[in-house]
Amino acid sequence: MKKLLLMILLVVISMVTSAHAAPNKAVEALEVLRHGFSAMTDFSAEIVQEKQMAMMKRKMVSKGIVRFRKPGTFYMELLPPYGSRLLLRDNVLTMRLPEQGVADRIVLPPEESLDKWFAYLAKPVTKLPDGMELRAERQGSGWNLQLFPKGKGGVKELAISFDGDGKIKRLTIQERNGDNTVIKFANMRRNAGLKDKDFQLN
Amino acid sequence: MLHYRIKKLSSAIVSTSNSLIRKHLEWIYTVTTTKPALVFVVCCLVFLLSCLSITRIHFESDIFKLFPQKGPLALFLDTIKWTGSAGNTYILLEGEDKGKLTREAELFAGKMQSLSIDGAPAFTKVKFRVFDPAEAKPFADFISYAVTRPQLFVAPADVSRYQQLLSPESVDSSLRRAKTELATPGSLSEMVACDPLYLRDLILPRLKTASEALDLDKTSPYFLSRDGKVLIIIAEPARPVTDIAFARKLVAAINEARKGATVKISFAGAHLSAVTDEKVLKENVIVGVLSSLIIVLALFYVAYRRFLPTLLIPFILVYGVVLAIGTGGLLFPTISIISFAFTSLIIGLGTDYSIHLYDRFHFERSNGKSADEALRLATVDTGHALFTAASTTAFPFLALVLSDVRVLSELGFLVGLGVIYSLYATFFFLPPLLLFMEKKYPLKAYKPLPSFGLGWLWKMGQRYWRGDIALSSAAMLCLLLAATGTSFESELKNLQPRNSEAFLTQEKVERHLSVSPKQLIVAVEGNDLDDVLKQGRKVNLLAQEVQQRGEIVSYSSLGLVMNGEGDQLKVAGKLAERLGSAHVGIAVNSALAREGFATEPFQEYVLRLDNLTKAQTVPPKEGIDRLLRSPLHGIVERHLIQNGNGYHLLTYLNYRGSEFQQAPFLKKLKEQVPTSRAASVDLVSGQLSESVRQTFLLAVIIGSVMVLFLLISHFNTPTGILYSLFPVASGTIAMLGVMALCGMRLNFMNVMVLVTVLGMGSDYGLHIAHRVRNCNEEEYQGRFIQSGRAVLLSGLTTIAGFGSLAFTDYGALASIGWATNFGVAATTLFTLATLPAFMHFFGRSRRADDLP
Repeated sequence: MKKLLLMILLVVISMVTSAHAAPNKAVEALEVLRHGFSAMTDFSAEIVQEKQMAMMKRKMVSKGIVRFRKPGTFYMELLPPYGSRLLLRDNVLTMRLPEQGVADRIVLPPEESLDKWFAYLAKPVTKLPDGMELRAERQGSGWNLQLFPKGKGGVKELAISFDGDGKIKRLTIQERNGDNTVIKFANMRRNAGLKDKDFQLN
Repeated sequence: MLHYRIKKLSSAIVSTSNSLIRKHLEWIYTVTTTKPALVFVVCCLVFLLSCLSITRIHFESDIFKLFPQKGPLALFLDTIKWTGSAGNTYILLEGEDKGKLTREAELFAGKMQSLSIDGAPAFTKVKFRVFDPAEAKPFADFISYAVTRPQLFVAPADVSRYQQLLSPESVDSSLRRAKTELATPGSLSEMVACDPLYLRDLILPRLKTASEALDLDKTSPYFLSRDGKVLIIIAEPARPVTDIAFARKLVAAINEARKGATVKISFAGAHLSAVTDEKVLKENVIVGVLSSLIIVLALFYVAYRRFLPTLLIPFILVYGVVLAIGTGGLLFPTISIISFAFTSLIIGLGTDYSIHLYDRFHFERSNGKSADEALRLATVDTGHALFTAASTTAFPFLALVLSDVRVLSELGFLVGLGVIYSLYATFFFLPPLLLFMEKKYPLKAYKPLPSFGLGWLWKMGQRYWRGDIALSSAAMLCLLLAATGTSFESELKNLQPRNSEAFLTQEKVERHLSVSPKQLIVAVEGNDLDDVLKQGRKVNLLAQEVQQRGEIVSYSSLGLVMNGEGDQLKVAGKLAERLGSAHVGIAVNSALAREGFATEPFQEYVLRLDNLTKAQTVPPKEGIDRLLRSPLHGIVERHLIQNGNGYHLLTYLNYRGSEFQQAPFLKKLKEQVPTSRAASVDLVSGQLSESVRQTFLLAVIIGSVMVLFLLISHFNTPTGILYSLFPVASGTIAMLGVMALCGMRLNFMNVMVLVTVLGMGSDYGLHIAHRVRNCNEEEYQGRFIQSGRAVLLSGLTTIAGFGSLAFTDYGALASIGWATNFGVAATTLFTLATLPAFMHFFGRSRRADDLP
C-alpha cells in the first residue's frame, strides 16, 4: 500500500511545479515541488502504465487517466484489458474492478494517508524526510528525482522525471522482488476546475 | 410425666446457664475492679499476638475469588485465565470523529509499544489493528497452505462451489481478475501469487467468523466499533498482576501517557483493578470507618457528656477489630478486602455495649447508688442482657462460617468474633476507667440523662395501646405487601465499584464492541486431541440446532474453521467424485500460460490442485500448527488451550437473553458430551444465587435456633421472647418493604443483612424487656426511658456505622449499608414505639389473671 501512496504523492507534487537549480539538489527539488503544489487546486493527465512482474511472462501495458483535487482526493482509472478504478479520499481507499464486479474498500492507517504528506508539504522543505534517501539530478531543463525508502518494505526505488515546466514525463517503481512499473504521463492539465463527477467510481 | 420432666430439665438448663453467666460476669466485675493492671497487661499481650498474626495475612482484591471455585464459575475463571483476557489491559479511545480516533490510536499505541518500566518493555504485545501490514507474508503463506487443502478448510456445503472455481470458465475468469488486480497499483500481489484462482473466498469468511471476538467495523483496519465511536487497544503487560509494584508503575505510566490526548482515553484490566479499585475500596472503607467513628463518638458525647468514656470507644473498637482479624489470620491465609467492610459493622455494633453499660451506670448513680454498686449493676445485670444480646448478634454471623461462599464465610467469622471481642473489651476496659474517673475526676452530681422523648412515647403507648398496636400492625401489613415485590439482583458486575474507571470502561466495551450481550462457553476437555475435537463437533451440532431455532445469535468454535475427520472424508470424497479424471493441474497450467502468466511460480500450487482427487485426511494437529504460525493464531488461542491438564476446546455461543433456552440445551449437552462443562453469566449467577440461598437458609436456621435458645434461657417467659422478636420481625419486613418501594434489590451480599437484623434486632427488644420487669410498675417508665435511650443511641450508632457503607462506590458494600440502615431504623422504631403498647396489653392481661 505504501508503494501506491508514494507513487500518488510523487505524481501529485511533481505535476504542479517547476524546478530550479540549487546546491543541495534533493532538498531544492523537494522545495520547488512543495512551492508549486501550493499554487495548484487540481490536475488531470493521461497515463500509460507498463508493469513487468516475475509472475507474468510479458509486460502488462495499460492506458488510463489520473486526477487529483485538493485537499486530498486522488482518482486513477486504467482502461481495459486491465480495467480498474481507484479512489483515495483522505485515508479511505476504494478499488473497483468493473469487469469482474469486484469492489474493495480499505481505511488506511494515518501514516499512509495523503494528509500526512500534505502536512509535510505545508512547511518549507529544509531537510530530507525521514525514512528515505533522496537524490536529484538536473538534466538540461528537467529533473530526475530518485527516492530510496529505508526499511523492509516492498519498494526498492522510485524515480521521477519532469521537465522545467513541472510537467512529469515518467515515474518508475522498482520493487525488491524484481517487479518494475513505469508510468508515462501525457496531456497534463492543471487547475482545470475538476468536479465531483470526475471522481466517481461508478 | 414426660412433659413435667422436660420442663424441669429445661428449667434446670436455663437456671444453670443464667447462673453461670452471672458468675462469669461477677468474676469480670471483680477482676477488672480489683486487678485492673493485670487485666491491662494480659489484654496488651493478646493484642500484640493478634498484630503478629495480622502480618501473615495476604489481602485479596479479586471479587471472583470470593466465590466457590467449582461449577460454571470455575470454567468461567479458567477461560479468563486460559485466553489471557484476565491479564490484558484494555485501552478504550472514545470520540465522535473516526479520523481523530484512529490518529490518536496510532499515537497512543506507539507510546504503549515504547513504554518502559524499570528499563524493560511494559507490554509484550500491543494490538489495535485487524491487519498488520507486517503480517502480509505469513498470512499469504497460510492461505497458500489452506486453499489447496479443501478437505481441512472448506465446509462440506461449499464443495460444489470449490469445484466450480476449478472449472475452466472460472479459472479463466479468476486469472483475468488476477491480472487486473496485479495491474492496479497498490494491489496485494502476494495474495495473487499464493492463490490466483481466489479459492480463498471460500475459506476466509470461515476464518473471519471464528476470529471475531469483538463486533468491529469491518471496513476499518482498526479495532473500531461499528458505530465508529470507540476504538480499543489490547495490550499484554509484561508482568503478571501479582507483581503489584509493576502494576502500580504501569498504571502511573499509562496515566502519564494519556495526558494531553485529543480524545478521551480510559482503560480497564486486572492491573488497573488491582491498583485503582483496591485503592478506591481502601479509601472508601477508611473514609467510611473514620466518618462513622466520628459520628458515633459525637453521639455518645452529646448523650453522656463524658470525655474519657467517649475516648475509650475507639480503643475498644480497635481492640475488637484487631483481635478478630488476628484470629482470622490464624485460620485464613488470605482475607478479602471486601471483608474489611466488617470494620464499619463493628463500629456500629461494638459501641452498643459501651452505651448500655455506661447508661446503666449513669442511671444508677443519678438514682443515688454508690459507684461500686452502680458499676456492679451495670456489669452484672445490664451485662447479662449484653451477654445475651452479643450472643444473639454473633451466632447468626458465626453460622455464616459454614458457607462455601468465601466472602460470607469470612465476613461472618470476622463480624461474629468482632462482636464478642468488642463486648469483652467493653467489660474489661470500661469498668476500670469509670472507677478511675470516680477517683480522679468525680462528678459533683449525676444529673438525669436526656430522655429524647421516650417518656412521651411510653405514655402514648400505655394510653393509646390499641391504636398503637393497630397502627403498627397496619404498617407491618402494608410493608409486608410491598415486600412481596422484592426481587433478586444476580448481575455480579453491579456489585463492583460503580464509578471506577475499570467498571465504566468494561461497560463501554460491552455496549460498543460485544458481539452479543451474553455468551455461553462450552468446554470439552481431555488428553487426546482427536477425541476432544470429536466431542467438540457434537457441541457444534447442538449449537447449530439452537442457532437455527433463532435462540442464539451466533457461535464460534474451531470446528467452524477446520473440518473433522468425517467431514474431511466427505469433502475429499465429493471432490474425487466430481473432479473425476479431470486433470485440474494440467488445465490450470494451460490457463496460466494462456493468460500470460509465468507458470514456474505456480508449480507447487498447480501440483497440489492436481492431487485433489487423491486427497487424504489431514491430521487436525497439522492444521492447528499452521494456524498458530499464521497471523490468525488468535483463532486457536481463543478456542483450543493446551496446558498441564490436557486440551481444553472452547465453543462460544453468543446470545441475547431469555430466548436462549439454556436448560434444554445443557441437558442435551450432558447427554451427548457427558464430560463437557458450560459457563455463562446466567449460569454463574445461578450458581452464586444457589450458594447464597443455601448459606442464607443455613444461617437463618442456625441463627434462629440460637437466638430462640438464648432468649428462652434469658427470659423463660413467652412475653419476654415476644418483646424481643416482634421488633425483629417488623424490622425485617420493613427492610424488605422499603427496599422494594425504593427499587432496591436483594443481592448476593445484602441478603445477609437479614441475618444481621435477625441477630442484632432482637437485642433492642431484649434490652427493654430485660429492664422493664421484676420491679414496681411505677418504675417501668424510668427503666423504659433508660434502656430505650440506650437502644435509641445503639440504633443511631449502628446506622452511623452502616450508613458509611451506603455511600461507598462499591455496589456490594453500598447495598449492605442501605439494607441495614432500613432494617435497623425500622427495628428501633418498632421497639420504642410499639413495645410500650404491648407491655400495657400483656401487663393488663396479667393483672386480670391475678385478680381473685
